[in-house]
Amino acid sequence: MKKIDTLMNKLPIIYALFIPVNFYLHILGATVCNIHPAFFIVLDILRILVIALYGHYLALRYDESKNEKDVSNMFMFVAGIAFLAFVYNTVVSLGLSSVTRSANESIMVAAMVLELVIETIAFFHIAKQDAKLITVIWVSINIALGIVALADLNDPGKSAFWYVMIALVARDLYKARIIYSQELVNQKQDVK
Amino acid sequence: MKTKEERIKKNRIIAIVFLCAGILMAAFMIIQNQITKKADNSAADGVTEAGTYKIDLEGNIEYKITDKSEKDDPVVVESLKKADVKLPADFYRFLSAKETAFTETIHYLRDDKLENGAYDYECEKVDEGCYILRKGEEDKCGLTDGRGNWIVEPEYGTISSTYYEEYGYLQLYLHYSGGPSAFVDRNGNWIMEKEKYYNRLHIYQKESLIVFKDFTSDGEHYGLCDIDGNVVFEVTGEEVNVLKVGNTEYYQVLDPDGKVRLLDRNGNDVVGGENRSVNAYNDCLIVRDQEGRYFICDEKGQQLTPHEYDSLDGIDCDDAGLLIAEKEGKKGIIDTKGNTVLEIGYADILDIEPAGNVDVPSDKRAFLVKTEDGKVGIYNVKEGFTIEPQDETAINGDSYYHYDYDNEVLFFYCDHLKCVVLRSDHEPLYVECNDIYVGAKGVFVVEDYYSGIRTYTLLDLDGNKIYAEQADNVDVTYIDDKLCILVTKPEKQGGGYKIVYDGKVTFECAKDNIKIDDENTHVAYAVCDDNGKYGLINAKGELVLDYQYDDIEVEYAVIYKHDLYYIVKDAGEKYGVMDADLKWIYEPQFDHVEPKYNGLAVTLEKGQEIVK
Repeated sequence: MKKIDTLMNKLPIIYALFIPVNFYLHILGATVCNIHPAFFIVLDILRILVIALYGHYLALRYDESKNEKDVSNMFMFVAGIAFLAFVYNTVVSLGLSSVTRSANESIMVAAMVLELVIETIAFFHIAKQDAKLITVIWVSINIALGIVALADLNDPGKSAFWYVMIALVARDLYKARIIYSQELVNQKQDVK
Repeated sequence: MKTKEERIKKNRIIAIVFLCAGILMAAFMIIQNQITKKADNSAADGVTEAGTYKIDLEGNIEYKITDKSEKDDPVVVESLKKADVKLPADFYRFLSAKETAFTETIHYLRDDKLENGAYDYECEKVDEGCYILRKGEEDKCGLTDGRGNWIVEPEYGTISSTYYEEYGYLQLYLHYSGGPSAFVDRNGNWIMEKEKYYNRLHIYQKESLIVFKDFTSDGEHYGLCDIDGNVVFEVTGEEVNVLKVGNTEYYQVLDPDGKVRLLDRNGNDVVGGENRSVNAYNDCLIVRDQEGRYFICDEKGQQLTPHEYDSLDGIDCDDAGLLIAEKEGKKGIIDTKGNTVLEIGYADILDIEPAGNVDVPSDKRAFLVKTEDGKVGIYNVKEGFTIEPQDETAINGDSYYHYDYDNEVLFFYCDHLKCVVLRSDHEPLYVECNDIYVGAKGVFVVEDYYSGIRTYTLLDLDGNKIYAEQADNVDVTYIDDKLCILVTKPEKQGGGYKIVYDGKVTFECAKDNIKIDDENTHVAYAVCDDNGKYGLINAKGELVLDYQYDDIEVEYAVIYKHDLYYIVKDAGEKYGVMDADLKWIYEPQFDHVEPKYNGLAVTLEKGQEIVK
C-alpha cells in the first residue's frame, strides 16, 4: 500500500514529464528516427494509464472545503478519448478495418486536438486555484499556440512549424510549472 | 457537494463507459469491414449490382470490370500488412495508422509536401530473398532481402529487373526517368566500376554488354565490357551504334573526322577504317569507301563485290535480300551475296511498296523497270517480268506510277487526262479520264468530271463498259461472286442512294433514309421508311430487320476472330450485337457494349439478366 501511495504521490511529476516526452518521441518517429510502432503502442498504453491515474490522484486530493472545481473527471475524459484513439489505431493497424488515408488523418488529428482542448480547460481551472497571473499566462500560451497552429495550417511553412513546436514546448513547461505550484500548495496543506 | 468516494465512483463510471465505447467501436469497425467485404464478394458472384461486366459470346458473365480510378484513396496501413516480406526499419512507422497520420500531418505543417502516393509503396519480387522496394515518402527504390535488411539502400529513382532473368543483373537508375545507371547483382555487388554510373548502359547480347561512358574532355568515351564487367575495349568517337549482321553483332564507331569504323567484340577493325559509311543490310554489310564507291561484304567482313557501284539500296522488305545497284548510270538488282538478279542495264528501277497493309511476299515484290528506250514493265524475283516492258509513252514523264498488287495492274498517266493501264497478256489500255482505279477484281472504275457532273464508268479488263452512271461516288465490290455497286446519286439531282446487285437495282432511297458511313460500307445499313421506322438492309440491299425500330445505329467492331456489328434501338437506347452474317448474338438489351479481348464489355442494370 505504501508503494502505491508513493507512486500516487509521484503521479504529478510523472504526468508532467511523461506526457510531453511521449509526444516528442512521436514527433521524432515521424521525422528523423525509425521507431517501431510497437514501442509507441506500449507508450500509448502507459500514457492512457498515467492520465487516468492522474485524474484519480486529483480526485483523491480534492479539497471539498475550498469550493474549487473538480477537474479529475476532465482527465478521465482525456484518458477515455486517448483510449478510443488507441483502439482505433490498433484495429486499423492490424488490418481489421479499412480506412482511407484522409479519414485516418482526420480522426487522429481530431482526437489529439480534443485531448489538448480538454486538458487546457482542466489546467485553466487548476491554475485558477493558484494565482491570477498564472491563469493569464496559461491562457495566453494556449491562445498563442492556437494562433500559430491555425496560421501554419492555412499557410504551411517550416518556420511556422517551428513556432508551433516552440509554443508546444512553452505550454508543456508551463503546465509543469502549474503542476509544481499545485503540488506545493498540496504539500503545505499536508503539513498543516 | 460530492464526497471523495462519489467523485471516484463517477470517474470509475466514466472509465467504464469509455472502455465499453472502445470495445463497441472496435466491434463495429470489424463487423462493418466484414459486411463491406461480403457485399463486394456477393457483387462479384452474381449479377446483383449495376455495373460493367466482361461477358463471352455465349451469354456467360466472366467477371466484373472495375475502374481503379473510381476507388477512394488507398488504405494506408493495410497494404503494407499484406506484403509477404519483412520490411526494413524505415517502413515501420507506416505499419501504424497513428504514426502514419502523425508523419503526414507534420510533413504538411512543415510544408514538406509529400507527393501523392507518398505512403504507397511498390514491392517487386525479383526472387526469394530479393525485392525491389520503393519508399513512397522519398520516392526512391532500394533492394531488400525480405528479412528487414537493405541490400541496396533506397537511393535510386528506378531499379529495373529487365536483365535479371537472363543475366542476373539489376539496373540501378539514378533518376526516375532513366539516365545514368549501373548494374548490380542480387547481392548488391557492382558489376563494373564501383559507384560509377554510365550515361547509357545496355546489354545487347549474351556475354557482352555495351557501356556508354560519361563525357570527358577528349570526347565521349564508349566501351565494351564482357558480361562480368571487364572492359574489352574503349574507344572515343562521336557515336557508337550496334549493327547486327546476320547473327553477328558489330559496333559502328563514327569518328569526328567523318570516317566510320566497324569493330568486332574484340575491338578489331572488320572492314578497314577508311570508309565513309558502313551499314548493315540483312546478312551483308553495305560499305561506301573514301572515293564514294559502294561494295558489299559478308557478315565476317569478307568483300563480296569490287568497289564498283555508284549506289546500293537495300529493298525494305522482310528477308528480301535484294539491292538495287547502280553502275555508270544504269541500274540492276543484285542479291546480298553479290550475285546478279537482274542485269545492270536499265534506266531506272523503282521498288513499289504495297499500298496499305497488303502483305506481299519478298519474292513477289514488284519492281517497276524502265528501259533505256522508255518502256516500262513490272519485274519480280520469282516470275521475272510479269508485265513485259511496253509502251514508250512513259519515256519523258515523271509519272505517278501505281501498281495494284492484288490485280497485277500498273497505272500511270502518260499525258494530261490520259491514263495508261498495263496488264500481263493484255495490250496497253489507254483511257481518257480524271481518275482510274481497280474497284474490284477485273473491274476498272473510271471517273470523269465535266461541268460539275461526275460520271463513273465501270470497265472490264479489256476496256469494255459494264456500267455507267452519273453519281457522286460509287463503291464496287463482289458479293457471292456477283458485282455489287453502291451508288451515291448526284447531290444536284436530289441525292440518295442506290444498290445495284448483279445488274439489278435491289434498293433505292432518299439520302436521309439511309445511314452510311465509311466504317460500315459493304456490311449493313440502317434504313428508314416514310413513317420514320427503321430497319436494316445488308450490302446486297435485302431487308434483314423489318421496319419496326425507332432508331438503329450500326457500329462495326472486331474482336478476336469475330466480326461484330452493334445495333442500338432508340427505345431505351439499348445495344444488341450481331455477327458478320447479321444474325443476333445478343438482341438489344445493354446500355453500353464494347469489344473486350475475346468477348464483350457490357453495362448491366441492377438485377439484369443476359438474354441470349
